[in-house]
Amino acid sequence: MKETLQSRGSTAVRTRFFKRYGKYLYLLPAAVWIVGVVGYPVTRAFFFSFFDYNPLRADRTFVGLENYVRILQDPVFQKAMINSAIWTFGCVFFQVVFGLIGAVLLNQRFRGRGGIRGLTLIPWATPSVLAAMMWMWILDGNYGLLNDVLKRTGIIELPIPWFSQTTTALPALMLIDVWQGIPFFAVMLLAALQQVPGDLLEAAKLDGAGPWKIFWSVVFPLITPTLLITTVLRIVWTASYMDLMMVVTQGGPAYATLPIPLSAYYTAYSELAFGEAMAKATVQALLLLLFVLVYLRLFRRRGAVDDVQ
Amino acid sequence: MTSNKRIPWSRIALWTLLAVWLAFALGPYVWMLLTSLKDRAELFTMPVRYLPQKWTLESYKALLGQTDFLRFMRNSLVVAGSTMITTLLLAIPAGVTLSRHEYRGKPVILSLLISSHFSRPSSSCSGCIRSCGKWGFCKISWDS
Repeated sequence: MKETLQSRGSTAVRTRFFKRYGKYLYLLPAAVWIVGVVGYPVTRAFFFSFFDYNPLRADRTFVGLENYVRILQDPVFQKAMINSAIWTFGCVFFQVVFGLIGAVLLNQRFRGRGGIRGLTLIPWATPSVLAAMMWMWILDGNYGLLNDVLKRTGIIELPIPWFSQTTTALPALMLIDVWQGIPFFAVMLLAALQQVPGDLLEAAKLDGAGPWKIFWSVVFPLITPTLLITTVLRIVWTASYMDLMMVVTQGGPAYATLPIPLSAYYTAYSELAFGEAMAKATVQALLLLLFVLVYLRLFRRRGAVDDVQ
Repeated sequence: MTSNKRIPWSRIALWTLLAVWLAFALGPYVWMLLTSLKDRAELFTMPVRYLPQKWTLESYKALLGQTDFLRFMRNSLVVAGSTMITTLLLAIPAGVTLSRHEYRGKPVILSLLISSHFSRPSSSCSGCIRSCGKWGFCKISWDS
């Protein structure tokens, strides 16, 4: 290919150009796409967070930090920030713990391992709206399976309206997210566990370490990079996840399940206060940026580790 | 104490945990399937019945007969298929060049590419949707 191009003298300049910049050319489609669907909206949102901007009015007035001051003083938004923190760290914590246990289980030798590995992945492959519908029916206050089981086993006397009490609504939603997220951690950590060299484990065994000791002193340090990267990634995803709340509770009751992204969404599309909504989105983005930076650092460091191995 | 007489506690524990996990992971699907095979009135009987008293495919018939379900499925296929093809077309050249060539700013480019992973479709959608409407992207429908 290269030779045919060079043999044609007239295209020599173009060839040199292509040789030099061709590698960037391959990147161009992806770059244009990402700039278009991520870069442009993000920049635009950040820009308009300093404006009083209602899409139905023609004028946009610059108001400086007024939007930020207003949302940070708004008790509903403060509640949303607390909700987001509980939601994000609560969900990810349980997913990491159960995902790690799951990965260790799936790494054992047993019959039908391949099939069972596949089956445990199913919640992860479930679209969030479908997951929401399934669990809404199970957790239904009147006809739900969970209340029925709890009543039959005598744990409760009266059915609990899981999604319409301020105390149980957020935990019930977290249950759905944990259900969906455990397989993600299980699979990622399983992949990491499979990378642990067998001779290392054998050496530890010969040195007289028990399984518990081997796990925490040999295996765990080796899977820590993967654990950290997946955790940070999942934190960012969970924090910006609002599909469940939108389908199941719409943020209620009494803002008990309103996280920052949904709050921004309502401000934009119910109150049409786009400037304020974009300020909310920017606050969320800045908070998450911390995690993204940690992620990128870890990612790069792990890349270096891989090269050494 | 021969090995075949010893109770294999670790095996029992392993299978118990796996069973609990599978029940939790698949329970909602099983319940959804059972619910879909119940008669409509039976859904709201108290106390809850676990197995349908009368197994029926009425719900599936209603789905195919009274809703545009086949069209929804076609929409899903179109969305999923075109997303996959577009992603591959964009990602393969980028992947090739990033793995084969060395150039300045590669860590930054990689970081930026990965960072776009942090943006969820729902959040970029709310930023894009007005522009999409303005440029006519949102009027696409598959009514045929």
